[in-house]
Amino acid sequence: MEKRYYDTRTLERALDVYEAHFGLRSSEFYEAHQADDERVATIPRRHRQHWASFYREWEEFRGEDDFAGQVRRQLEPA
Amino acid sequence: MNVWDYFDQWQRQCEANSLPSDSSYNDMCAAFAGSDENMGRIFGRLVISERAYLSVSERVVIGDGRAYREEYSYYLIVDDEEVFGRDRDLTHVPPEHGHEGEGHEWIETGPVSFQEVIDLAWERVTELDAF
Repeated sequence: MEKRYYDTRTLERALDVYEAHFGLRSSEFYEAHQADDERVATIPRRHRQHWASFYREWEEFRGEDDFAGQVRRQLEPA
Repeated sequence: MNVWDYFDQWQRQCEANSLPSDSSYNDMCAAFAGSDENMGRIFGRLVISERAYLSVSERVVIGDGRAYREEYSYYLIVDDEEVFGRDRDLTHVPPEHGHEGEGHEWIETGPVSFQEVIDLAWERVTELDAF
């Protein structure tokens, strides 16, 4: 199998596709999904699970590979 | 074992169960950059028939030389409708659960293997004569 890689920008692009398709920001979607709110009631279950999974991973790692994270660390006392 | 070994095993399992990808197995699998080949995702569709497919999403982590499906989501789709789903979602208690039928009735399932899902999918497709 040819090796392929993804990172937080890849995840972000996946989130963009969901946002454009369903007309909701990912953060709003995730909050509604967790609350089983009616805003997400028409979204098929599988898409909810996938979108939420991509969002969780993006949230988990987004600070790791952007310069904002590096800047924060540079500004911290050694 | 690393994620690529897991992806290779997973591909062989799909092939052994007559489940081709609707794109390519390669397009469905990717490792998380910088994870030392220890994290990855499988995402896409496996074709069962003209009317049915299995929607697959796995987030895989390698630990102690073994692959763990930290999250998974398998849905059988027939004629664009979700027939059943099996999920592992760490934000739920318990994480493993399922959905059945048009009403997406929530059911407790315990952990399910990918093979169990494949077998159930073929069973349902046969019952529904969805070839």
